Amino acid sequence: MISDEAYIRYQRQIQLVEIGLQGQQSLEQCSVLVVGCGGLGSAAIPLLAGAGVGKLVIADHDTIDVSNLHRQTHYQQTQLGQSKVKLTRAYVEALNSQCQVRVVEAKLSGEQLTLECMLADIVLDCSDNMTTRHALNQACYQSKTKLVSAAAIGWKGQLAVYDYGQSSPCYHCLFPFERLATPTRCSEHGVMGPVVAMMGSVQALEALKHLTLEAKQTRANQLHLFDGLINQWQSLVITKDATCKVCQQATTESEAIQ
Amino acid sequence: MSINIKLNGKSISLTHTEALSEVLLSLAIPTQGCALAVNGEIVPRAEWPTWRVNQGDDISLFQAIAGG
Repeated sequence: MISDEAYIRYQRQIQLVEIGLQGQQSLEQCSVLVVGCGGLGSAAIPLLAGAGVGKLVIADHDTIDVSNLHRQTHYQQTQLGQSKVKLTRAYVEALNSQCQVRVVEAKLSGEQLTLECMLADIVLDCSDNMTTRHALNQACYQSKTKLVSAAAIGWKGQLAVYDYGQSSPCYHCLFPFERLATPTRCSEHGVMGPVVAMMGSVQALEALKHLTLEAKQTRANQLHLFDGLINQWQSLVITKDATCKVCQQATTESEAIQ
Repeated sequence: MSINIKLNGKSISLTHTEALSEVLLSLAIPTQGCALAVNGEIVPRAEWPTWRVNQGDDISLFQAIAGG
């Protein structure tokens, strides 16, 4: 049962019929892995902690630079050079002591990444490079952990939830490459703060929905493109690639064993 | 028979039905780091050489982004 204190705290959320007491209780039991504590992560993490997610695991190896502050607004100008994950942990603990935070102050990779994805109920990709994005997709595919992937640059954002069902596509089906034609990092290309914060907020929204709602009320495997310059969204259905190295190779291997 | 398609909202006339990759090549459009959708559905990159473009197809070509 939910405590009186928690009921009062989350009342506005519990009031939503789709969430209710049951949804709130399941949030308290959930563990969410957030990879990246930059523009996307700093928008998503406070919303997840505020909503009452029981456990947050936050991974990033970076420190605060003055050029981060226009979009990563939960950091302060007195904190330059300090560890992003440590500051974010302090921020979350001050916001909601009911939320347990564990931080990984490193670039997650290999077995550690696989293990972290396995332990999570849902993963948020808030990273800033294709290599990490592909590694996360691979790890989430292996452990069948839902992945909420978002990216932002300039005025544009992209977002998709991968559920890794039997006939579902994966991130690699959509983007089967690591090299991009143009710079992908905000440091090289520039980004509008509200655009990246919006994408991070929608990541938190999708994660909260997938953690609390019934399956028929949520959607996955769609790519949402946002253009902040004209304030428009476009939604596209992601199709499974029959030749995908990530989600098809495994199927072929298991068929071969049978 | 010529066909008309739309690419990122712009009308384009093709002299005959072609594969997606041929269309992109003939229009000299760079596709590195791009994904593509026809009528709201992503066409996996591996299918571009064999996917025939049809009259009235609405094609969206866009770059992957990775910033965060």
